[in-house]
Amino acid sequence: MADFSFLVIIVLSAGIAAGTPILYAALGEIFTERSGILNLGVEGMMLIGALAGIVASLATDSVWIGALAAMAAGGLLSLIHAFISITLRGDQVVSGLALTIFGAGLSAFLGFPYVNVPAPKFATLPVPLLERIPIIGPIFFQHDVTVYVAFMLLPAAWFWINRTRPGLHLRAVGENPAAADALGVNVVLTRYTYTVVGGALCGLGGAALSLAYTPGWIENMTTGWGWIAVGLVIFAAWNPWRAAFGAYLFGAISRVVFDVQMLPTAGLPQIMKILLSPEFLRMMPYAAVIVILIFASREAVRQRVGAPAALGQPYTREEAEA
Amino acid sequence: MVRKVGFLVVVAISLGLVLAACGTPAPAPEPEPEEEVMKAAFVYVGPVGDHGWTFAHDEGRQYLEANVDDVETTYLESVSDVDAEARIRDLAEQGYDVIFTTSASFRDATAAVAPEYPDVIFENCSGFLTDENMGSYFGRMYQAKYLAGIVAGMTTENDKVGYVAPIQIPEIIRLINGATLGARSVNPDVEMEVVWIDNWFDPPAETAAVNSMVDAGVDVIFTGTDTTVPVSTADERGVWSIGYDSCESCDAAPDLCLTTPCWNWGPIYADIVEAVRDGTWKRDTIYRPMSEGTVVLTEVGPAAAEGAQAAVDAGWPGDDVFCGPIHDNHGELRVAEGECMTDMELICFDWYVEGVNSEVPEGVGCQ
Repeated sequence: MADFSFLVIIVLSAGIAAGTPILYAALGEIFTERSGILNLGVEGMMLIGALAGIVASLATDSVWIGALAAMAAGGLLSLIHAFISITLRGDQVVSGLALTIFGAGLSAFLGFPYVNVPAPKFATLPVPLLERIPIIGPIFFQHDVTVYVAFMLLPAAWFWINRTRPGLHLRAVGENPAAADALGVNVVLTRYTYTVVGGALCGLGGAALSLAYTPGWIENMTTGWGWIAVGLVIFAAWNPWRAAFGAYLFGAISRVVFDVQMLPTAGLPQIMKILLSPEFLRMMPYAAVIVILIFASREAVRQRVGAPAALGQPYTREEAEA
Repeated sequence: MVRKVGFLVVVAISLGLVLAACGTPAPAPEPEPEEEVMKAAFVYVGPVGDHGWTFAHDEGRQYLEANVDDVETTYLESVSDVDAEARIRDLAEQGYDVIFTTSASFRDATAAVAPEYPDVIFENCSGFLTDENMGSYFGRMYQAKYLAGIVAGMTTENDKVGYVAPIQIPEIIRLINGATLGARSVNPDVEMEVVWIDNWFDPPAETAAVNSMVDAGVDVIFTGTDTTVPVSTADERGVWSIGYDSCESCDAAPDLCLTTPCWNWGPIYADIVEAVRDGTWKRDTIYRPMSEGTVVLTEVGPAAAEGAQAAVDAGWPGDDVFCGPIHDNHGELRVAEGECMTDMELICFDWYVEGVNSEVPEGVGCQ
């Protein structure tokens, strides 16, 4: 039994470490989508961020500058999407998909010399005192800094969106841009700002992957985590807390599939063998995303869970007045 | 300008008509006897930037260009299994003389296209299927894994070695078994843990798999995936590792990486292309042993136990790694003393040797 609780603690702790890159990306996408812009380029921005983090931290020998460079790179990439979807009023789905393909290709091309190069990384930094709390300590407080920054960002993001004036403007622009415009909120500026903030957080998510979780740069290293983040935003109903729950749960599942492979399963009943099989566990997050998407695509559900009403719709003042 | 071109066309057509009418076409110029340029194409399963399996094949392609005269090469990277057949057909259509498909998962796609282009030579890596104009090539990597197992067995302190296993196929069972036999030849207490990531390439999963094994007490990590992520992650967790695929794998963690069983494809590619040019190419299943240089074990690193290099140099007892007596991990004698497994049995490996702390997944083997 001691073995079992040890395993649970390790899996939860590993889940938080693995979920952190996804959480950053999901938080970024929540900001962007709350302003009414759907950016499906998360995967591309994470990859560019992961590479920029490695390149900058190798050049300066500082992981902090690496993380900042990752945010700048992600933000810069999202500016392309902002220009196409806000200024040119193009199709956001097409632009976002293009951004993912572009980011993957560009990072593979530019990143070729950096594969297999040992890079600096965020060291594990247990929080004094807190790390010694039984159970809680090992799960939450024996990680690297990227994990703690995400802990602090969570309440800040929730507070910003739900309890501040700029957050109110953000939500207004995402729900009813015409009304927000009439009240004097600059719709274009707001949408640009939060698209770039979202891109910067996706870039930071990439850096959390390459500078903290999986060491070093490897082409296409996100392996679909950006898409998991996009799915999580809907699962979380655009709420940072629920996004954190989903990201950490995904992280824990992505770890437990390996632990169960080392458990002896000889004496277990067939149903337990299936439930504990890595194939079944690995399927769960993706199956969950599909189920959520089916529910979330119903209009009534969308309204109840609070999808931004103007999500994905370009805004033009002329149309609004007509 | 346009008028000038038009004039030339009219002249050319009239000339043609006149010649045709005469019924004595001008003799076509004989082709120059000088050496023809061979065109070789490579279809890769991963990105050339993986610093693993595909990277090693691409080094082989570059060796071919550098060491064989009058060869032109091209490659397609990250080709999915679904796309493979169409991509291979495209290359055949473009007139390549030899097409190398560097994954067992491209075997059936290669075999499907080969009969349509009898003048093109197809070569599939590790698929062990041939046709009139299709060959198969591979190296006996299990031998290098055995030697690396010796290093692991001598170095481990917990007597627990782990294997990050990629795809559930007999090849991987064979390599896990080779590594386990090697480790237990010097340290009979060694147990081998196996976790499957069900992918050749999945960096976050590779990290999680290594963490999982280290938390279970493993202190030497073998990687079977196409990247160096397990080597880096092991380094971070402060345990030893054994690289794979590319001979530079240990660069990712020079302190704790013990050695790397790796591929040197260049000579095979050069031999095949020369044979096709000379007309001496024949349908064959190439399965080269370590002694022929396709499979290499890099020099043992400073972190390994003392005497490891000498033990590696001494090699395996007998003719090959899988010679009896060998028991499976349920205690049953599978290979009797004095007998060796046949190549067919190696290709269809579906049981683990004694010491592997796992069960072969259902459906692996040749049935």
